[in-house]
Amino acid sequence: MHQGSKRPLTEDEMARRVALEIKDGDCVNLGAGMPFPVSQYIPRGIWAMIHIEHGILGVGGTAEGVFKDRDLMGLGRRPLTAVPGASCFSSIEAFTMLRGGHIDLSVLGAFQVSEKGDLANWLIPGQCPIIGGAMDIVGHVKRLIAMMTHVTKKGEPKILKKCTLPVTGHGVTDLIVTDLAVIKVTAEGLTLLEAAPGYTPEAIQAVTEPQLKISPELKEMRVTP
Amino acid sequence: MDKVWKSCAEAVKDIPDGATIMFGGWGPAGDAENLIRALLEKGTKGITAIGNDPGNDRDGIVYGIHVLIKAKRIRKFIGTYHAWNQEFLRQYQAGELEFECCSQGILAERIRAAGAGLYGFYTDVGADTLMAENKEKKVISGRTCVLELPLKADFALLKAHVADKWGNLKYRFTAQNFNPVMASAAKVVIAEVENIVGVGSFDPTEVHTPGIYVDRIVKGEYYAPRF
Repeated sequence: MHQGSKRPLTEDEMARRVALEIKDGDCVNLGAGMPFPVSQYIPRGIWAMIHIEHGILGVGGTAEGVFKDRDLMGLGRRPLTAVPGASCFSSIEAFTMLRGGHIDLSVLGAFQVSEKGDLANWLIPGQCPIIGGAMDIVGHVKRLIAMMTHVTKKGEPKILKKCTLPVTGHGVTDLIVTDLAVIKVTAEGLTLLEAAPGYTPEAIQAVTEPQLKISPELKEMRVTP
Repeated sequence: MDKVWKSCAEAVKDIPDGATIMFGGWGPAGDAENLIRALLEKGTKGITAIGNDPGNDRDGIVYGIHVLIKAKRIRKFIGTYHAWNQEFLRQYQAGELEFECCSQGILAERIRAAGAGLYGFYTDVGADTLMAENKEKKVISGRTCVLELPLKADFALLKAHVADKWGNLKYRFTAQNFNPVMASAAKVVIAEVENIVGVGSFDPTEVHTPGIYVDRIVKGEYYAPRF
């Protein structure tokens, strides 16, 4: 890909970008769907333990061939591997880690995020609710990243002044990583930290409902390893 | 005391229509597939099922509670999400199946409360959301909390890797999930295992679920491929 050409990030590139937020020694919970591949892009030299709420701290990645084990499976019947030092436990223990504030970072998918950091990811009115463990997670982990596409399939903003969908938690999001931008949630509102290749702050603002502050250190989102 | 039953069919034969049943398992790991198939064959209907997810049917591989959902034996499901189970969604949208949605950690703690002799607990989980509707509220340490009530069942159908003949259980990897907590919260706890060993075979330190909670143990007859 030619550097500087205007394009949104792919899901893999978003996962790479989120992985840069992981610090040495972190225990990181990854939500279903878009966040899971983050586990594959933890930077070299960083020791991190991946937590998934079905009862494991220390997920390696997707198991292949003879390493597939029917007792070590994730969402969507994905066979998993465990890293050295991993531990497996019950749902009670898995959520003690999350709700008790022992997990350093959680990455969740989202339908909408507000300028105050409210996150909506469980209910579209008229549809079947889908909580999983999200309500236990938000507001209880030390840091929360919302990972989503910047706009809906119809092109409508998902970063809003106020969520129009029922919220999962109020003021719970610390950082928003989309295919177009990295945006920090602060007490004074949203700050644009990074933009996708070729995107100007004006182009990001055009698809973002609340007013964005532009970081003085605004950077291009890193898309290469 | 020997709690070993001859077959899964025998172990579930007294589960009546309308029973409330806890099902261990999280996605495709830790579900009592042989007991579930036996319950399907027995024909029990009008079940209130408590479990993490409704299981699924993908690429011809069927797992979890879905075996019973497909046969329309489940009246109500208390769980955390629909797992994109299309038949579950169809029954839900058609009003054929009731769904009580509960955040996963709270579901586990409600079951724990029932098993541990607690009459409920306060939590801030979901307290500022639609989930808090019709729940008693209390401000504790400056946080608004809601009262969550215990969740118990008539039967629990669990899956462990190995049992001794007294019902001490050991699990493998993520197949543990809801199984241990459910063992404490049902009147009759039936555990399906891959191997049964003699009493005294386990190092006491390694037991995950102590046999005190387990009423019936049965060896699973057939484990269908999951890959």
